[in-house]
Amino acid sequence: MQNQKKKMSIPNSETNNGVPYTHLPESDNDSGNTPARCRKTNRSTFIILTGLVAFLLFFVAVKYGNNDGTDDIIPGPVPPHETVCNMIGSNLMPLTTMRTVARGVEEGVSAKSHGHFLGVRPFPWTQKMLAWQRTSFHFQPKKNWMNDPNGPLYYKGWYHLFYQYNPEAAVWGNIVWGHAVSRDLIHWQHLPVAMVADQWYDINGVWTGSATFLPNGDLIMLYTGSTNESIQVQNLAYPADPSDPLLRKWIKYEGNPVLIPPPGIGLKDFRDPTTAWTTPEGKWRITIGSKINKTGISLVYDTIDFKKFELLKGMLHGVPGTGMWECVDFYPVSKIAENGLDTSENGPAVKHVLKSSLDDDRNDYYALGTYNAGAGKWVPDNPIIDVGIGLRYDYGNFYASKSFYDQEKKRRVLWAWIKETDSEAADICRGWASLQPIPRTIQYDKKTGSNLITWPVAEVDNLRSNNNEFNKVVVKPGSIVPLEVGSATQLDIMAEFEVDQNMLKKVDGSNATYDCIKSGGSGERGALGPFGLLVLTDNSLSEQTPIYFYIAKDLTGNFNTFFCNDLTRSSEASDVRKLIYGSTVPVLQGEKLSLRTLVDHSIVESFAQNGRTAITSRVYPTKAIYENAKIYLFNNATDISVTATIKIWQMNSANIKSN
Amino acid sequence: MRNLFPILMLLTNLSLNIDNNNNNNIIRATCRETPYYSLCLSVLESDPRSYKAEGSDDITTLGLIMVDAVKSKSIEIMKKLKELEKSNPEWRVPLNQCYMVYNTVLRADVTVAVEALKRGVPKFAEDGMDDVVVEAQTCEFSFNYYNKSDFPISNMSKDIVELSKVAKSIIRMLL
Repeated sequence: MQNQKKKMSIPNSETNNGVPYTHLPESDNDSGNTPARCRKTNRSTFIILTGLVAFLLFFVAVKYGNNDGTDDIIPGPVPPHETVCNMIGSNLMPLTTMRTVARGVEEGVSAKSHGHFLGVRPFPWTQKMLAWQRTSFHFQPKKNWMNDPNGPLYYKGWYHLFYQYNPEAAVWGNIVWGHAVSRDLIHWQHLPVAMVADQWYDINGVWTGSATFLPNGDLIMLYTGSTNESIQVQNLAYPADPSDPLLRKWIKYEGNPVLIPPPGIGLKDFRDPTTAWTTPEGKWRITIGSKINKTGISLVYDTIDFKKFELLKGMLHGVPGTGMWECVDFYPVSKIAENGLDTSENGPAVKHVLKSSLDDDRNDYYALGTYNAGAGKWVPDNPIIDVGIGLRYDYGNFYASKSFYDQEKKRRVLWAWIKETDSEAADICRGWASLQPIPRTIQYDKKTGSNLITWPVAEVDNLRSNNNEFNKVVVKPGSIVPLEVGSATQLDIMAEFEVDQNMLKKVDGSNATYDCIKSGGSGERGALGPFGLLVLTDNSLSEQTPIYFYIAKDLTGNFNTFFCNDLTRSSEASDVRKLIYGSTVPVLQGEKLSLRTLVDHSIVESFAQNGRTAITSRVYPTKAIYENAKIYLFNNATDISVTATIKIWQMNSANIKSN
Repeated sequence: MRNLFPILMLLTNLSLNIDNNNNNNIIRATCRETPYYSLCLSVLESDPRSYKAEGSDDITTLGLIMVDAVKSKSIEIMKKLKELEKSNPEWRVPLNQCYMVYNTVLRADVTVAVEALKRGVPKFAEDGMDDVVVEAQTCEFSFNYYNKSDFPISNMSKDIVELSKVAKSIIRMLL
């Protein structure tokens, strides 16, 4: 059955190399403007008619919904999404391949933080397009804004996720703690808000915090509050009813705040306490991120009762030039065992991970190192790749992460905030913003000894159905191969790529340096790459999201492998940021190149070499949606064929429930 | 511990006040870090709050003033859009889209930036100012899409983009 499937699915792979793929690097100022303009003229009557009808509808809506004067131009609360959507609900933009002059691209914010605005269709969003963006098996609130995950934990048979939540709008503000529970980290049930801003010490926001289990099984939560004077303080909370497995009610300690910014620390530079671990003297210890000038630091406190704290001299660690450290995480990983470790574990077979979320560039950086419990200090294994200047959990869109030890499954699990990269106008219209990734297990990479491995929790595999396998598909240089799997908006994809070793040896090395982000993306052809997958791609390839490897060979014959995700052609919409993400990925002798990608509507999570390098991206296509979202293999290398073996599963929805 | 709190705050404020006795220098120094020095200077110097800005909140206040300038400009643009709707009915389609995106600038980007600055989480303010550029581009693109003639708010749109970039630069100093 699978052989038959293979033949049906890959009509061109052996006969004529598939569709030529060389048009990928098409430049923006090519001659494509001329035919496009003709088409526009031909359509102008249609546009005007559509426009008139749309305007009439709009006019009626505005006329009877609002004053016509300028009185209504007064800044107030964020408008309910119905208001904005009434204005744009009439899809004014006809579908077209017209390419407008990309005015404003150069003047856009720096490419590093922002990327390019190469879209051709100004605000093309219909309700149908926006509805498609909602995920089916990722965690997100019913509506409105979410950011950091808070206090993840496992309690009496339930996984709990708290999160920064704005109950009132799809943009940041009015932050409270949203709350959801799950039996398996995948199927979630929304619960009422767990904590609101109702005390002087958190009236300006119930911000990020972490949970700690005491030896007797009691649970405490430390979180940051923004006081009535917007000063950042740490507060203590605990479950009102420990016998309630759903932990619905929380009590704030009457002596809050338990920690205020110490002398020398900015009043607004003191947030996000970690889970506590034990010291050799039997006390509890936490760390809190801060900064001194531009040096990101992590302060250390010891406590016995979580009410009175003692600031240790110096700091756990600091790195000059990294700015404010948010959401610091600190935990042990085993150098020998497969399982995760509880936060208090230590010993000769343990390394300690220090992670910081850099306010300056909004990425999560970690480093492996050694923790000296006596001194309360941590030193990196390799100062060249210290926290904030070296490795990242994820080279895409992934911030404010937090891990917890899952005592039930003996593993360390990672959550994060995956933000939007479209316009806020679109977010408001859609009515929600931000996602959580599929929770990932964290392990030390015993093979390389120099990095972590992050991988979607095993429970997500239970959503798999309808397996399609494609065995040993040869993808020749400059070709593209469609993979027929039906709808391609909810997928789990495992792919392996074999490259002819003789060709690798034969190809001349080059002194050119490669970098996913600074490169020309999937359209820039090299001898040995790029090759990989195109997800969320329509039949005409006008929207495509390539995920790929690029092998660089230097003059001495050494190979360096890159793993990248190119969003520059992921959408024709003009109000979407289109970056290229990626980094190097360690590939050891004898290993095949492998990738796993989870596609769930507007989120794409990709993992290379079983999780050594990860890239998460948000994708907002206008055409490659619903049944028009397809998946392809591509090879844009000039000198090598690749042989791909792929398994693709359709993913069921996780049906998040509301309470 | 609660008694210590105000004392600590006072001490921190006092220590920071010492280096900040010449506000004009702070305005100039701040503006030098932005991409449009003279625009920055003219906005900040025309606002009395710049001179009252003191202590640790100096830069925050300057950021708030600049976000206010973005707000005023967005209101100005929305008024102009309403006028154009009457004078140039043939532009109604792009005008509607422009109104929608500037409504987002005013009610989402500016509102979020002000709240985030006041509460000391500048990254959300920065996101808001980044979005102003995106929204302004939607309006420009939308107009170019339908019309060949010069769009009468293009200059204002350039202004608001520049103001938002100045605001972003100031906000980044607070990260």
